[in-house]
Amino acid sequence: MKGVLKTGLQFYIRTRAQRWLLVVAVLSFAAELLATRRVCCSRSFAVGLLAGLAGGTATMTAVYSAWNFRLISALRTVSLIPHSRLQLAGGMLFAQLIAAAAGAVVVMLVGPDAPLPSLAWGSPRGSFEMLFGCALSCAVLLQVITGPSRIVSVVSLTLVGAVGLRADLFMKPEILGMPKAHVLALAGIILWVTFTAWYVRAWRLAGPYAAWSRARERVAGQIRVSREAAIESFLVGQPSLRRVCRQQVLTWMIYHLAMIAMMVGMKLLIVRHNFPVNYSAGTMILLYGPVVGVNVVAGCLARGSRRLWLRSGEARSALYTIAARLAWQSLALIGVPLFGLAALEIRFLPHADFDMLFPLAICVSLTPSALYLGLLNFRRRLNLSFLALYLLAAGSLLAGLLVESAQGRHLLWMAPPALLAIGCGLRTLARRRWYGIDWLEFRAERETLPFAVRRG
Amino acid sequence: MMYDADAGGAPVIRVRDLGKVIGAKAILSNISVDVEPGSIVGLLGKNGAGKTSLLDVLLGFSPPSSGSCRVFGEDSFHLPAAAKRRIGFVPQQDELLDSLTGAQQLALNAALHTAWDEPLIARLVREWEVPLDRRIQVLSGGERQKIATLLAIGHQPDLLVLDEPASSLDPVARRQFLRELLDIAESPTRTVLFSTHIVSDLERVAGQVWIVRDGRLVWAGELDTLKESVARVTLVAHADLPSHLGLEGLVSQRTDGRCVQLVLTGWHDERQRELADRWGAEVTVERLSLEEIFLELHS
Repeated sequence: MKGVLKTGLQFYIRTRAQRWLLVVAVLSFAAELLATRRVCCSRSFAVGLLAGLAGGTATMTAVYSAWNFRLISALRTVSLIPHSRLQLAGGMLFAQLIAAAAGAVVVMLVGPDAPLPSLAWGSPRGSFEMLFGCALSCAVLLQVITGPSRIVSVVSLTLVGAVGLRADLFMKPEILGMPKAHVLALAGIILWVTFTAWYVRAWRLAGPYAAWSRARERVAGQIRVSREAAIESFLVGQPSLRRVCRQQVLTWMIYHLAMIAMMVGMKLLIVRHNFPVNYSAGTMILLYGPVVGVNVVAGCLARGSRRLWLRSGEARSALYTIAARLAWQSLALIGVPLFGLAALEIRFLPHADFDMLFPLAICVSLTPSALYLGLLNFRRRLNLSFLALYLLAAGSLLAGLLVESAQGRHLLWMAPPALLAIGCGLRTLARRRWYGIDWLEFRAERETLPFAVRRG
Repeated sequence: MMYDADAGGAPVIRVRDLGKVIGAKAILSNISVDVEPGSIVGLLGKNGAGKTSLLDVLLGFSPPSSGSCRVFGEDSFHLPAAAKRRIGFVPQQDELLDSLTGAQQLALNAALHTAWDEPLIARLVREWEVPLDRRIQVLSGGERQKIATLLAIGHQPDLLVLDEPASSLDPVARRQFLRELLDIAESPTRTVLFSTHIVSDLERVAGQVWIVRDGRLVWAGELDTLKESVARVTLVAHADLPSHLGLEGLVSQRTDGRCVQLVLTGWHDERQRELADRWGAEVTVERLSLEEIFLELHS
């Protein structure tokens, strides 16, 4: 039991980055509380920013903890000792308990003064159950559906954090209503029990894609063979850029459809059925897709550059030019279908009570920043992707705040140009970094694959 | 003791006072060495000694923090395409594309080179029994290493650099690989530089040896010279010997009363008589294997 408690805590304080994130979250939250009481206006722009900062850092700490679990869960030593696997799974449950308890306290402290609606969200018990159910389900799903060696990587799951930041969209009873809190908590526990039963007993850990990969092993696809194709393949780390982008579009479309299915399911479960139809949550996924997707692809290009230094004969500056061109191509290949579909949905489907064109403009203007952040990311680590998430979160937050705050409406026009300016700054930084890149600092990291599949 | 860097004609690699600092840590210090065309150099060192870092700097993956490094007469950090074409490199951790088959990987690599020796690759694929029709992701470590090696030698490089090339190979494959390495290096203009932990491999193949310890090159020279110049010397005197004998080239010393066991570099036969006369002791000399020398240098 002691081991489980210790493991649960470790998920939040294991790395220095996590500890700093926690400190920032606590300080921002305290500042927000103070500001709320002094300003006496919960919709103040400054208060909103502080709330966003607190929420953002807390969400990232949680995602970081889930990432840690993924890394630890696949260690060979762990896989050999069932007892330690149980301890890890228990630690994961305890970690989500901590997160839910902390979230519930926050909700109680900053929640509305008005009498609570007949829904669970806002009451201490309801908030705790809902947060616990959602956090546990997310943590389990994170273990099951992701794999760091694939382009569809955990970075895509920054979505979890991003959606978490716009939780208010889901929580508003007039938009979606909510399922009963204990149903969510129960769903989370059932998922955890199922996962733990498999994880502890599995003789050999294999990913959910293992069978599919084995089947595909026999049918290797055709590839183009030319100097340009070779450079593209070695940079991307896959047979072609088109394939990578297709995977990204497919992944985000799956998330989009899953979100719509979830909304339909929630509508069936909720207490009240008489609220207007709203598809904004599903559309938001389409808006996030290109931002995160292009960041992932650009990161792959940066990491692949080492492979080409000797093979291609190209200088560092030429490699940068090629990588940047491919990154922009990926932006077109991912952005056009996803942003296009989002624009169609915004035009033809019913939405929340604010103009969805503004988040669209924010996300479109965020993509260059995400692209150049990806090109700066020579390491398969979370830090820069977390920065991309921060950008995305800041954009979402700004969109919400500017639209909802009276004083913010005057600043609306500034947001997209400001984000584009950040993108230009990052471009200069990326060029400078590539021209003098020291690959020794970014040697290929030995990966510990969660659910490592080794077939001889 | 150090290899005479200024002797001979134009070296393939010329390193002068090379240093590399990452953060606050010096991972390479004060390295000066040359590699002549046609030589086979084995780079030996413990884990973390700086072998891979040294190779990374030599090949231009990383700029030196101090000193200079030239390959084929060019600054390694800004190697032109013509110089890179003459280099083949097998990294410690292969950089293969998991979703491709071995054949596709080779085809893509061939597309990047103007001269690709297809018959050589076909022969090696047959001899090494490399499964080219399977995806890289399902191959064993040894099979991956074989493909990585094929990628490095297909364009017949003048300089072949291998970072622990045989570490994942089974004994049979390792023997085949080393034999092939000797064949590759038969050409008088072809130079091979490889790092390894396996001392027996190095003894079997290399003509020269570099020993790296804590980022410093403690030996760079002919393997035979190294073996001849390092000796374990036992002194048995009639009276107790001092704990510090003050000898030149002392690597290690174990004193036990009247008996002292020393490992000395720069050994030659005259030193035996000098020691006997100086300490009035009976002197026995024992030659060491490369593995023993390596262990003594790291004791």
